[in-house]
Amino acid sequence: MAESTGIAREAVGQLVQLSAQKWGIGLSVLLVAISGLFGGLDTAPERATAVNAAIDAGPWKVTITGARLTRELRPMHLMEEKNYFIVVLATVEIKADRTWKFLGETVQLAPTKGIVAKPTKSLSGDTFHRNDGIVLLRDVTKIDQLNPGMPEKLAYFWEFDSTVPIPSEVKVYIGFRKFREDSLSGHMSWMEHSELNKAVVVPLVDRRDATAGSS
Amino acid sequence: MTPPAGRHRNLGPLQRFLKRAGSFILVLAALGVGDFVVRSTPDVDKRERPFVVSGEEGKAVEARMFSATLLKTRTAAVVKASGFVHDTQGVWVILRMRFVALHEPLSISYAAVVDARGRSFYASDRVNQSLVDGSRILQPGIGVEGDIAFEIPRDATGLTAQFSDARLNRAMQAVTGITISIDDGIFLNRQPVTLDPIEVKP
Repeated sequence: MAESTGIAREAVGQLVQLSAQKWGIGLSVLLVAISGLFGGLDTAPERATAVNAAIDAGPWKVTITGARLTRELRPMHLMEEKNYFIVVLATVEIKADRTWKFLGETVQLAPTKGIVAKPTKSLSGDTFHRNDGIVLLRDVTKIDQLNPGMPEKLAYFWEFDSTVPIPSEVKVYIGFRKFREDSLSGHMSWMEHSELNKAVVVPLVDRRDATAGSS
Repeated sequence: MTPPAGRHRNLGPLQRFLKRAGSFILVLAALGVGDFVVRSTPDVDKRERPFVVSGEEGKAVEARMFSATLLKTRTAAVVKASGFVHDTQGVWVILRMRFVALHEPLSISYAAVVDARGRSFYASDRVNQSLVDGSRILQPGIGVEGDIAFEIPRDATGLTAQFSDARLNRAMQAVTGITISIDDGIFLNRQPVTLDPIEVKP
């Protein structure tokens, strides 16, 4: 009994004598190991979501309702008359406490062969096509802002090269933001949080016979 | 034999542990005091908030570089502008405003209706609003009047109109806060309300 107490005291003594650096390294290794046990070291999977499912993405809630292939639809104009538009339909509600300008981030088209606009990269490294315009389906006017508490059905347009085979589906990303402190200015604001962006694969319905205002 | 004295005396394991624990507690206490100081001082958003200059309909409100006067308030279910009609799921609030630049040429770049819940509804981009989108230059001393259309949800109450010449950042800038009075009965009018043209009225 006295011998085991002596060994324990000696062990505690040795632990206490370890340097702070060794303590730090040991704790870090332990934390990483525990995180790994619970999946912390796994590769983040692409967060796929279904059509018609509401996606709460921070300052906005987006429900992708479909995608259409159309000819020119006013008020949108094609740069080449022979081309088509890929139109993604969505219901968007602003949850932030102010009108949100520049809605392009809410629905982004993943790199797609045939899209006339070259893919661009966001600051966070995501590659996507900027839309050619957003139309409010309520009265078919071009808009680029939406008010809080007033969800609307929107159509996002991308010009598509008619010489390229038409895809059967398109993939869109829903941009995600988080309300947190800006590390530069110190202001609280909705900051980009791209690792939480969600992807939706949408069947592309051929509606080249459609007219403005039809769905 | 005399025991070692001062910093060089030999400490036992327990004494060394207590010494390190004491240092740890001191560091924690310092962090706690720092956290208290940070929490008890206003954050950046409060420190750098805009200066809202309050006023009411019919009276000129001066926001340092310009004055704004709310001349008339109308509401509608449908507005007509440039030959197109635009309905809404909420209410159109149309403010007839008069702006005068006070010292130098400037443009009004921010126009919003703010409700009692703190929500800001910017001037609608469904109609052309060149008077408040930063494109119309106001010359000092020359008044310009025009309709500004806002779309707000039906549950928005306690409205004030905010205008500023600051393009992007309104931190510590003067902003008007003009109280808007609305007659609820007009909300039922389905007749399109036409936006009147911009007029120069020195």
